[in-house]
Amino acid sequence: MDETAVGREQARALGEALRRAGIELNWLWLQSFRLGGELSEFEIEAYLHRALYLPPYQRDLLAQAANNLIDQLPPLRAPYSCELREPRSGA
Amino acid sequence: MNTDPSVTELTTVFARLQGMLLSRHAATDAIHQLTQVARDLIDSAAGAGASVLDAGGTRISTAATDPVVETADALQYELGEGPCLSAWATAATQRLDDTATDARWPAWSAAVRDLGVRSVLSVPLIFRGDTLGAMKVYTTDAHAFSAADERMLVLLATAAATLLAGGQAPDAPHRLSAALQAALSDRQAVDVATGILMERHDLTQEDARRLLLETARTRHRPLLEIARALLGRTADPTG
Repeated sequence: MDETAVGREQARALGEALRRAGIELNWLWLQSFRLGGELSEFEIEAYLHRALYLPPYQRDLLAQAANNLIDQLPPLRAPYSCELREPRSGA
Repeated sequence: MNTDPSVTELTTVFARLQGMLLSRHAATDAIHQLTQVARDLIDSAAGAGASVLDAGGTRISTAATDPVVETADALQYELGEGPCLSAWATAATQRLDDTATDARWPAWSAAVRDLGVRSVLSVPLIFRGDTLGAMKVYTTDAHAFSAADERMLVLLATAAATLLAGGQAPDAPHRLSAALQAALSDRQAVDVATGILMERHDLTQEDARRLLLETARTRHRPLLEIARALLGRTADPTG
């Protein structure tokens, strides 16, 4: 794979990961900003649409930002009834 | 890309933005402070302005740092042409290097040339795909604004748009403020950690940032954790 193709696949997979995790673009921007990133939200969006090529470091920083957010999400599971009921007093 | 705005400059930006959030200024007041930040942040700028527009292109609120900017801005809406209107309509940065030679907005360029305006840089204020308006800087020299100035204004516009949009919900300002504070502190930690690596391993800033990222990746730890470990003078996780 040449570097452009690597970039495009990274962008595609990043978009997929964000969609599946329900992470919005402005949160990705804020997280990348925390990590010292310099991209605007507009540039990140363009990259996700494969309209903007980014060099490897910047792509990887976005991946790190996305993974940070994904890792912070609570695990995806359905609750049981006993987990939701109010505890009985004096029991 | 070595157009990284200094942490000090950003601290000032966000402190002032935070001030706007906590005091819950009306939109007009908030935007006025924003224009002053833009003018101060961009060295070559003589004046700055910002406008919030409704979907039809009518100005809801507007601000300018001085009368020249006010007039130049008003002229755009009167003549129905200009870089800010185009920035808003196209959701793209518009850079005008010389009003004496630019052909895109002929009537407006001619009018503002008489005011002494030569260079213009205008960026859209965008939040979640909606273009809320535009922010601009003007100056009296031609070709005065650089790519670095563009990046700075875009960075400011992103935060500003979040601020403006977020200001619509009553409790949103306080949440935004806390998030911005934390974000700035983290960014600063990354900056300092990068500096430590540069010094310790004799690296360029670029290579130090790469090392930080690579360490986070290979150790499966968040980059911020690695950065704070370096600051805390605990064992060097980059080896």
